[in-house]
Amino acid sequence: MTDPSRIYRWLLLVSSIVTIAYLVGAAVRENYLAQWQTVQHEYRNILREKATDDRGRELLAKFRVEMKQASIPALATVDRCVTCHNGIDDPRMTDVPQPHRAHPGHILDKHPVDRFGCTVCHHGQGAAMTFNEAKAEDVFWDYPLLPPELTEATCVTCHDAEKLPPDQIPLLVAGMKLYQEKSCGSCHKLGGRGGALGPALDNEGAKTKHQLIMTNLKPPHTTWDWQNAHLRDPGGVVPDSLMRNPTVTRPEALALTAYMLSQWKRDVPESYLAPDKIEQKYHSLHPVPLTGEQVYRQYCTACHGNGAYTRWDKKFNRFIPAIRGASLIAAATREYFQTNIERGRPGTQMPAWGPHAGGLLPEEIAGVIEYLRTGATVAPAMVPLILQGDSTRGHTLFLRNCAGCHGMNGRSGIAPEIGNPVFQQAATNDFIVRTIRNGRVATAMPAFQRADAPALSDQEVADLLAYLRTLGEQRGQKSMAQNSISGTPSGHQP
Amino acid sequence: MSRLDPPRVNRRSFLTLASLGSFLAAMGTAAAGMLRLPNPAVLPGPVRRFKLGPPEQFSAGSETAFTDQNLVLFRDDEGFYAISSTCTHLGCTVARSKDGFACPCHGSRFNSKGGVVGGPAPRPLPWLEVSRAANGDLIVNADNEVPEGTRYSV
Repeated sequence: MTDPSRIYRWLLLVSSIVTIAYLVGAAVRENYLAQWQTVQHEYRNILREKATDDRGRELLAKFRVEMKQASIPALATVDRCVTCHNGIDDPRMTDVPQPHRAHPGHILDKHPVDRFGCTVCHHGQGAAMTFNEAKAEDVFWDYPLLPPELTEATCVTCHDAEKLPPDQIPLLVAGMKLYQEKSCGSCHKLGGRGGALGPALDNEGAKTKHQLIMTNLKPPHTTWDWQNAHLRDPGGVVPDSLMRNPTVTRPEALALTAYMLSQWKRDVPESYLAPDKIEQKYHSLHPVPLTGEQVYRQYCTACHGNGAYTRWDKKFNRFIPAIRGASLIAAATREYFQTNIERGRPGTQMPAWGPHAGGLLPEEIAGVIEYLRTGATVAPAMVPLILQGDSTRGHTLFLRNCAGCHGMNGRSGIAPEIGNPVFQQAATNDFIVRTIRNGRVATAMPAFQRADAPALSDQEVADLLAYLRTLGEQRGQKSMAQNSISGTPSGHQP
Repeated sequence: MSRLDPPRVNRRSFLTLASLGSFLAAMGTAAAGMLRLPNPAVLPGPVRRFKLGPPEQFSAGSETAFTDQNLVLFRDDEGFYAISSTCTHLGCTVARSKDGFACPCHGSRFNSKGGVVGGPAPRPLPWLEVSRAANGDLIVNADNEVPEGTRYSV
């Protein structure tokens, strides 16, 4: 007869032996086989080889296999990178393999690990004890280890990029220049200056992967991969993006990526800031005005190109006016330009550029108007319209001749909006009549009173003008009319 | 069979003993692992190993106070030594006086080697370990005390 408790004794024996084996295995793994311990044993061998003088022998004697870290409360960081990168500040360790090698350059002379740590420049997970966890390219760490070539982006945390030696930050220097050359400011704001079509880029570098659309990218998903891919093909990364493909080469995209990563208003203690960074903060409050040509290149060319010709924009689905076209600058006044630039065209892609919108200074707007009107001649005298127009006849004429491009009531067409309130306020009667009569050279706008084939009579032009002038009022009247019938239930209006 | 006979270990009681013994051994191993937990390999506090610069910048016979690090570095003919300037009484920072150190809080007095001369301080000011980094800079490890009179010669 077998004892019924026998099976439980066997169970206890086997489970206890398994538990002991597991615990002993875990203890050995943690205390003797950890990656960093292997690394430190290797490093001790290197120290032994290099212990040729007194100091070398002293360093060898003092070396302990133990966890090492740089803990900097001021930066709220605990970086254990030095547990494996033991030779980081040993000038003899230039010819040994990673992770034992000395830090390249003379960066550590002014940025000792004890004061700065590692992750303030390199990002990554400082408290990690294995390289993969330090790299932290999984979903749980916001700022994974930066690739070596992009690490320069973090120098601007404490330095003014324009005061650093350019050979130390080649990508940033190239990126800053490209940002201006490619006229990124036409759509994006930086430091309060720029267009309003795209997002402001002031804290672009602080973005985490969770704030960017990664579905069209291959893993591992990092913000620099996103920036790089997006700069080369915005629509391929963000569907329905309004951003057109910038004409950039691979190195240029990388430079712009570094520049984007450097846009991070990171809060570090004042004592860490270089004096030039403090100066830079002051200067950003008192910008030096750009010349008209610089303003045009940085803030206008992305949409208007060279401005001499009209351009069909596939993404906007409309014509972009030739703002330096001969016909326009011959007919438009300085005030016309000023109103349009300062206030933009609400409801279209043209943003306002006044000091409180696009951030251009008054003297910069004056400068860019001067630049736009370069070559403008005094408009030749025109036979004035003395006829009284009839807006009803004008409406018919508008539908027949104008609505195809300018939209049914001068809004939402593919050509500039005549019904736009800013246009209505900026344009004089003289300007509108001249434009109808002479058209716009090098654009889709024809002349309606060509000497050899006049399409409209003077009376008809007067009728059109009368109708066009009602467009500015219509919106106001309509909203008043809507107010007056506010008691009517919606859905029952004719 | 007398009760004084040694008990016979048959297969069944061996199994009982082995299972109980291995169970206790497993508990012991687990307990040993748990006892290690309150003793971490590394603490998150700030590093108290201070790099003070190349030894050439301190001339023989000089003394240099490092106020952020709370220590005074001396160099005499025999070598370098560092004395902590944190009072051993309640942790105020001691000031250099004519013939040693004086604590402004409760009037403890120390001689120039850190020994207690008067006041409530229970222990002399500790001497700190001086060594050199790989790049040649002097390092004072404020976590390691050395016996009074220890010099570090370059």
